[in-house]
Amino acid sequence: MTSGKGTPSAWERFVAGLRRALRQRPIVFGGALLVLIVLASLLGPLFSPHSPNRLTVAFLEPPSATHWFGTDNFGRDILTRALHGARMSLAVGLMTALFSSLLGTIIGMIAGSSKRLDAVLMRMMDVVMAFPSLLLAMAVLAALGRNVTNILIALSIVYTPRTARVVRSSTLSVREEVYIEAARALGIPWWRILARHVLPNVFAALIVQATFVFAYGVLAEAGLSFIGVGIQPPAASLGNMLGDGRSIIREAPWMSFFPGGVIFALVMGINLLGDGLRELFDPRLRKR
Amino acid sequence: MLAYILRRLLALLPMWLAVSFLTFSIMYLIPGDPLVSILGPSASPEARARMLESMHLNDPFWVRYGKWLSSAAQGDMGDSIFLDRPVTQAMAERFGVTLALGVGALLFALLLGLPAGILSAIRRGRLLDTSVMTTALVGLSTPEFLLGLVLIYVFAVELRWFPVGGYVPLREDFLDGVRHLVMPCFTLGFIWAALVARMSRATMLDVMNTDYIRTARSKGLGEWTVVWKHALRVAASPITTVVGFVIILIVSGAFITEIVFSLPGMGNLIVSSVLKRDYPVVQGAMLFIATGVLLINLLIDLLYAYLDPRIKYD
Repeated sequence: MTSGKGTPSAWERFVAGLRRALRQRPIVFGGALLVLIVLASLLGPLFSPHSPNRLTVAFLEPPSATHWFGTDNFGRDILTRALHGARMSLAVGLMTALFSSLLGTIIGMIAGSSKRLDAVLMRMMDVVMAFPSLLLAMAVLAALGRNVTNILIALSIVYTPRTARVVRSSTLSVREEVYIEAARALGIPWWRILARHVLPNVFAALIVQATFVFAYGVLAEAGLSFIGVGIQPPAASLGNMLGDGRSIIREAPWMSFFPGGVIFALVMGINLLGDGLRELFDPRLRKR
Repeated sequence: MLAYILRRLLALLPMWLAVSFLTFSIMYLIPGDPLVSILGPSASPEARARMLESMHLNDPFWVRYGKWLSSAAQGDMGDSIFLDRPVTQAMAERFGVTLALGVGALLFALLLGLPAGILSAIRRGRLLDTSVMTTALVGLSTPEFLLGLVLIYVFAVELRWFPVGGYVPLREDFLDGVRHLVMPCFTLGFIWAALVARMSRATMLDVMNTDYIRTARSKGLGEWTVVWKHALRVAASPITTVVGFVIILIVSGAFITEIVFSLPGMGNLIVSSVLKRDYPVVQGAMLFIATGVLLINLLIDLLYAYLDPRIKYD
């Protein structure tokens, strides 16, 4: 199926890109792991006979045929709660990646293309980056209140500067290209040059960065919930499940290790995908 | 060089002011009546008025910020609401624990990460490289609290080699103090060792592909001489940046590790202050840590400039 003009159609380019991506082992493994966790977290709770929050008298039961991951100190099924927790982690991680990419792209592209605003915007990003990410997220949550929306706001603020830096440096290198100069000479407005010519060229770097922010977001949400500042019980989060299990690890190690294993698998999948995408987009790395 | 250092220090001042402004503004946004959390809901109007006066809560934002900033610049960050002592004293009491944890973690991160990264660059594509990079990926995907809990379960609960948690000052009993620190330092250090290994491997690979390394090899020098005398010297400055980055990450990760191992450090203080809304402590700790990060960044830049002769001081 060709477009008849000798140039490949969008569909052909997509298939060729997909084929190249599937040749990268990290993308295949990471993608498969992620798909598995996404499917389990979306479909699993529908088939589970247990409720994530209903208290029962089956306290601290070890893993069995009825409760594959055992039960917690309130008699709740850990597998069901872990699947709900994974949903939460995926949602927070994805939304953080999305919001910080959006904000970071706007700030990074403006800084990279406007000499006047560059210094001001990047110094603002430096100020945010002077705070360790968890500390800033905790402070924002203390100020705004602890709920899912505010966790998203806090994490998006924390991770925007990293994305802005990556997009800015890609924009700076694209800015000097001849086709941008040509577009400027044609009188195309700056916002259109950014959207039509710069954005597609910084997209690869942005996608790779977004994948890593996704992983950071999952880890940060789990960390915040573990220390009691993030998702509040009884809502299930992989982090607060581990936090609950910490004090009774001697009696019920399954309470910590199963949710912990899910976080590990999730972040591992995202990191593998990110590594694979980076190799795919950066031919210099492929030779290594 | 001296002029360069002075210029960089001067450039730090507006950054520090911006950091202090952000710190103060975030805490200013905290909803609810701060007097209720300090005095309780049934406080008398007189007590409320006295507290309003003593904490300058009646003043406008800019006046309060100015007063807070000038006191903070002189080392006075106000009093903690719940700890019954000045914020600086509360932080000073806990700083030693965090410092011991941070230094130990950095040692683990560097002693494990640097040799692993450099060796896997030299043995690129071989079994050693693959195993190191796989371990590094596992390290980067493991949250500190999970690794900490696994170590506690295996080495404290089952094998009883190390205590479950807590802290013994090194000055009181050095050996027991070290026993209490081994697992927390390893937990924090192992994860960042993964990052150090990946970054130092990438840096070494860049250096090993350059022309002068090819020249050194074609002169007939042995591989180890090429690595030790030529490649490592050039790779040292980018690796310094990695080390600085890792120090900052360790500061960030210390919160969770301190909670997992019940270490009475700064992280533990900050988390309990956030939960209790003890905002003078959160404010003070934020300013203190961010100032530390700015200074570490400056130090790394200066060291980078010193190590790499290609960087000009203008």
